[in-house]
Amino acid sequence: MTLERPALRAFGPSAQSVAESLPAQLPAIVVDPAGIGEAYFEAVERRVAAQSFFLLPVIEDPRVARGRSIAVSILGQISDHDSRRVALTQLANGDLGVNGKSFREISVIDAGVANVMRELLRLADGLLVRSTCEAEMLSRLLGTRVRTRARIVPVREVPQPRTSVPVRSVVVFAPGLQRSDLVLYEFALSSLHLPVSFREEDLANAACVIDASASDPSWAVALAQRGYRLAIAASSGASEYVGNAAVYDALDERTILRAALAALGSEPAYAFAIPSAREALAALEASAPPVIAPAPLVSVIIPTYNRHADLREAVRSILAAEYPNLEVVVVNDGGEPVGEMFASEARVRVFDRDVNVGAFGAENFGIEHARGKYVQLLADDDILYADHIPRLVAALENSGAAVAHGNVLIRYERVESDGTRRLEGFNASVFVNPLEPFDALISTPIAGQALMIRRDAYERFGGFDAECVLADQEHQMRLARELDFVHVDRITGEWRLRNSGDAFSSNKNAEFAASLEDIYARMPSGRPAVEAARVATIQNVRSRPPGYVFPPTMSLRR
Amino acid sequence: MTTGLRAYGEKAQRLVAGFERDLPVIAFDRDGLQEAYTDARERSMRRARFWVLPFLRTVRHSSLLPAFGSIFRAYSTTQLRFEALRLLEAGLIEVNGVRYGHFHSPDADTANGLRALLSLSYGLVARSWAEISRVIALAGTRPASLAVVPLLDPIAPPPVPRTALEGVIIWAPRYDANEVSLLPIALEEVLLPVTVYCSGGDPPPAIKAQFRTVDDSTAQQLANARCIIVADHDDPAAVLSLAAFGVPLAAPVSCGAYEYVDNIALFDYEQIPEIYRATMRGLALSPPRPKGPLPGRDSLRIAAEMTEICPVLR
Repeated sequence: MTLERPALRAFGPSAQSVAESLPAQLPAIVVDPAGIGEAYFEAVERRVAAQSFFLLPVIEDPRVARGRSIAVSILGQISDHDSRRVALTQLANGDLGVNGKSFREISVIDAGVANVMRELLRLADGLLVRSTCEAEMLSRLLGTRVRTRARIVPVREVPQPRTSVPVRSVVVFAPGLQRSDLVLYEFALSSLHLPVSFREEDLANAACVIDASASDPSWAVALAQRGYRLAIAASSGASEYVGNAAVYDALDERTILRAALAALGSEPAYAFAIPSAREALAALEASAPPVIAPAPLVSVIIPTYNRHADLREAVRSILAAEYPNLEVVVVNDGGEPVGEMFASEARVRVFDRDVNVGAFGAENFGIEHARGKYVQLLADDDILYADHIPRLVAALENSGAAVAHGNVLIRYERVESDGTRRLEGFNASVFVNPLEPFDALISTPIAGQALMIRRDAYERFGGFDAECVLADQEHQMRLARELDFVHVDRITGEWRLRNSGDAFSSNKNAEFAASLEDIYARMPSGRPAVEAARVATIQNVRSRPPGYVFPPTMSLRR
Repeated sequence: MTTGLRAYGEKAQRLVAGFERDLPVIAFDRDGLQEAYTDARERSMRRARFWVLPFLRTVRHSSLLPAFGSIFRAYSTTQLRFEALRLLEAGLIEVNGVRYGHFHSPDADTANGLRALLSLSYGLVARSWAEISRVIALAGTRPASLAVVPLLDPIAPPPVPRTALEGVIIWAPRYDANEVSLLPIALEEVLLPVTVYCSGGDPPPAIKAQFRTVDDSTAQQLANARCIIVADHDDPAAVLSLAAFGVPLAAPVSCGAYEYVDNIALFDYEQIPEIYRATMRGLALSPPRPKGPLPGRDSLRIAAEMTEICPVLR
């Protein structure tokens, strides 16, 4: 029995609270900083299964989150009212010194959290936000541009306002926040003559409501739908859905007071243009791999040498592709025969060769025997996700380009003495960039399996130089001089980095450096900046510690 | 005396030409700011509610555009130009005495005028939420109501079917060849042919791309493009109109087009290498897809009407 994975999953307490008010059929991972580890695994599993999903990061604006706790300290340490105001104004302006740094400098999110969130966004098909304001904040914090964005507002319930109560209060409405988080509001509203309440039970009797949500517009929307007089935090993004609400800066006590007075004197708020889950789903649908008809034949070349279990997994990943016209060319590079393994699979052709010529030689052999319009290479211990082939074929067919590449996730595994593999971590930051012409003259940041190349490009520009240690780099650099590499900015495969038997786990720095020198000599650039970068690259490779590998961004604790 | 639409400044008049005349909106550009303020004060004294629709240069980078033309005239080879851009980004060279990272597009007078206008208005309307954020940041004040009203690009021709697969187009018919020169320079190493549609003028020398102005053949050229790079910094209009061609699009993130259209490659002008990267991503994209009907202008009328009603005390 296969258990269906729920479309909507939440990781972390704040994320749980948001997800409770979202439609369960929405394919999304909702995550806050406390849940990023589990969310990462969920995201990888969804990518492996080529299931489209949104990421909804629940990150409170760090300026407000940090500021709140500093405001508590200010009000705790300073007793004079006017001195408190001076310090709070400095805090709101970002000028307050905190432990030797300005508040502006420290109001950022943890770098480790930011790195993992960035990778989660790369794994997702789109960014789901509660407001454009939130999207801008995330873009500022994480520095990523996301191709697909959609807005959704969690549905909240608030009571109908009662208008017949004679004496009503200003209510600070702060679901999910502790009373101690609200001392700034208490201070700001202390000069009001009306009673101020922080109790949710008083909501229905409110003369006006100060919504204290700093990053979530949903409560403001619910309050506006009920017609409360309302003040909202600018950082909440509620202005995108709510009219007639007074707006304040959640760290500036002066604006809180002004907004309360403005809300008391205004007409009731109203809600407009609330985005629906259907709109979000449409955005996700737009990011699905396009169907190319007729589908050109794709040849996937897999060189192999005595790694039968890995080979079976690699081939299985190809045959699971959401693509109707492909062939797998397995080139057994002088190892134990593998033909029997795929005897029943008509789409797999196996060439058992007697002599071991190395991976690059075996790939050249496979390319010679490929029949497809496009050629895809895959190491026998790596895998491609089910949407890799359709996405890259669509990119090549739509653009008419000869080379396309996707992004690759590095999966770190430890092979135990009994042969079992233990997952150690992931990295989705190394093989995620496009090939830029300047970089292509120095080294290429593209994993071999990320590339799909039109077969006639091999005919025009040749295959791999099997004698070259870094033949894949040399080949990419050669092609880049003649062809544009179009970039499918999506993780569509895995490079598995193992502690045993992998080229990168042994000390090959000197060999790699010599190979680069050889490649550079073959391809002089005539550009001083390139030549300087080449010298630096060779020095860098030589000086790497033995056994250097790219460190995982997401490590499993032992 | 009017309570309806008034536009101040040539740019504002052009952009709201198709708007309904009875909309309670004051539109203005930099040149029309003073007149707009006078109108706003007069309306306020009559207690007439109105929205303000500013067309100001809120994207920091936009004031640097002419400077790029000068840089590319001073440095005549691709290598020197790339090096100059790198140094500019690193803050090691200055433009008119100002470092790249220290550029502020709008002047203080504009910010003050805008703040005063917003304080008199019922709400702020702009072409995208991205623009609203910038206007609010510039003014340093935030009106109680906000709304977006995206416009379409009157220069973009209606779509025609594709007849061939050709090169990359840079769509910049509002900018002269000098102002737009950063884009073809950033794409100098794209191997596909690059064509720039601009408003005219002389481009800096030794640029590989071909410069053209819009003519009868433009629609076919757009339809046959492998990817269209939209130059507009602050207006999603071109993306909204060109999306109908079904050709992959790349656009500056600051234009806010992603709020209305899915599947576009985004770049940030302030990180110049992103222009090349977005082009490579754009080439691989499937056609752009509008998210749905664009927000209409009715909300401006309804929102203002709601507040015209005298509150009923119970």
